Amino acid sequence: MKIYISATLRKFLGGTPQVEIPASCIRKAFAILLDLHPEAQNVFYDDNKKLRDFIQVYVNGKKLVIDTLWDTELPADTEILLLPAIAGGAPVEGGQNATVESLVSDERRKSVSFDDSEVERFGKHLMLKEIGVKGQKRIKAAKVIVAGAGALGSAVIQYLAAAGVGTIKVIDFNEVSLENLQSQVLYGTRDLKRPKVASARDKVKNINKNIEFIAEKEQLDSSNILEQIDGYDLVVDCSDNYKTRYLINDVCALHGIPVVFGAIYQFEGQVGIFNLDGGPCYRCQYPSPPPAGLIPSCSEGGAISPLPGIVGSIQANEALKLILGIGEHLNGKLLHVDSLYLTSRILKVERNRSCPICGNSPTITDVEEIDYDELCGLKTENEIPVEGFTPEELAKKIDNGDPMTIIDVREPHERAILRFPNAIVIPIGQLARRQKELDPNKDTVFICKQGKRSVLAINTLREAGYAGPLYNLKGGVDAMKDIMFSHEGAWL
Amino acid sequence: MTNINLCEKISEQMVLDAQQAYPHECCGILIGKIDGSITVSDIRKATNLVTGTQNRCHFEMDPMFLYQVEREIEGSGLEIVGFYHSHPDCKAFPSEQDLHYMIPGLVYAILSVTKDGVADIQYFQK
Repeated sequence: MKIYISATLRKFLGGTPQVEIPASCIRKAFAILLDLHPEAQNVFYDDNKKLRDFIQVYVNGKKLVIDTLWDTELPADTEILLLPAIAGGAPVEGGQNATVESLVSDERRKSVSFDDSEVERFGKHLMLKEIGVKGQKRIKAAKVIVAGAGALGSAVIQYLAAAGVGTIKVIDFNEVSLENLQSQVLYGTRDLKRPKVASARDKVKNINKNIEFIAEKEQLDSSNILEQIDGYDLVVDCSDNYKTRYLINDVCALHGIPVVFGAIYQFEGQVGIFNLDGGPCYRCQYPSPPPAGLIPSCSEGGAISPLPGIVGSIQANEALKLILGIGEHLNGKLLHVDSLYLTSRILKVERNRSCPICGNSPTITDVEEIDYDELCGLKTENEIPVEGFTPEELAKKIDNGDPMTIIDVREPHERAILRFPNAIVIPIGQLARRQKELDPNKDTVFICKQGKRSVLAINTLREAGYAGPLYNLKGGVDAMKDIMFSHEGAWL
Repeated sequence: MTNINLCEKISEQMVLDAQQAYPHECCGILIGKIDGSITVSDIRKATNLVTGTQNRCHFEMDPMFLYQVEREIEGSGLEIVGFYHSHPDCKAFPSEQDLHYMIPGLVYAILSVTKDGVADIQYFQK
């Protein structure tokens, strides 16, 4: 194939504009070219042997995504153009002296006023030279959305309300349950079974009745999210699942609304700011979610009680700094906190030039184009459907003494809470290797906490070539809790 | 850094491009000669491919435009010596993204532009 080398790259490749390389695919052609000019190796590839993103490859005049075509066999008369990406940007991503502009304009600030009680109430803010009367007016004029009124939301909502944010909208679909009370300090026993947004409203009104509080008991999806966030200055993402997280990121990136992101898992937490002043979005850092079921969510993995308070408080603090336009903030950064060993690190998040949503040539322009269930691997229609038993069906089989093998794929600490009798314990990672322990002539039933990881286990085993019958316990051990067995009391 | 020679006419053209593009970023190619020092004798305005609000703080040039310009000046004794782009309401200093995409040996002109015009032009090389 013929390779044209851009004049700008020629000096690394012997100075000739065009070379003829006898190779059948691009990977081989590049290997030959770089064998001839080993000094160009570093220019072309990064330390991980990945082609640097500033090298652009065109095949017969068309730009192609190199990953899909590395090893494709190409005809001998193919012409390859090797061109550099000429790109860059203004230094906006939070340099040392980057000025932070307030999210609330001067006109909006001037349109609010205080009464005497507010001067007394916010005295400690008014004393700070970084906030003062002007800053407090900005806080009052601000309109903030808190997406999710769970553990993170509990801290965020209360602190934003106490700080005097004038308009707070809380979006949450759930009702308060007993297990929420371990970390969701917004609620008490009297709130059980109440919609979270209703209890949140009472709490906020009790802090400051002048706050305009909008309660939305709604499940966010691509059809309603735009209408929900329209007109707001800032979204504080306190959601607990990837689907909502990507949805919030995408719609906010498209409409230029900054997001203060927070997440917790066991003893660790993360906070970051996305979509601010040309900075990166969540997709720049995490282009796609992990496969469903691989990483237990906070509700499956657990979290220590004060952790969401720590992370949520930092989120609220970042939100106020953005409203005020003061200090250094986490734009283009991700704060990682480990509460078990009391360490924290700030990681840099680079804007991805080819990000599908905030990159230079975005391919996503409307969230309604995206199937977020599919993105997050929550759809299984393309796979062989996994057969499963409901808790009742499994209980009946156990009662009848049907021959079967039960495999528990839960973590040791989960099994300690609720043991499943007569189950063999095999972690998902060892399944392929230990498939000989299963009897292909007997039914094998997989169990986990919520019936998601067990599906992953079955798919893993099928991929490894196991041919025996495999079943999943629908809803997991959680759904089996209330089942009583007819013989010698409860099984569980 | 290599000496850069560039006549007033060239900087005027870049300044005009930066002002016209404001508040968005402009970008273009510097054409001239490299022999010990760098002489810029011509510029080519390029389209900033970045769409939406992002082009206030980012730019990207179509590599095929670069290819066309390269083919056009082939044999004329001139060559591509670098690129220019503007930083609206920002200092004339390379951002991390700028540094990431710089090709060693070429000259990069950065124009700091505000609504009142171009405040500063600086040249950088990696």
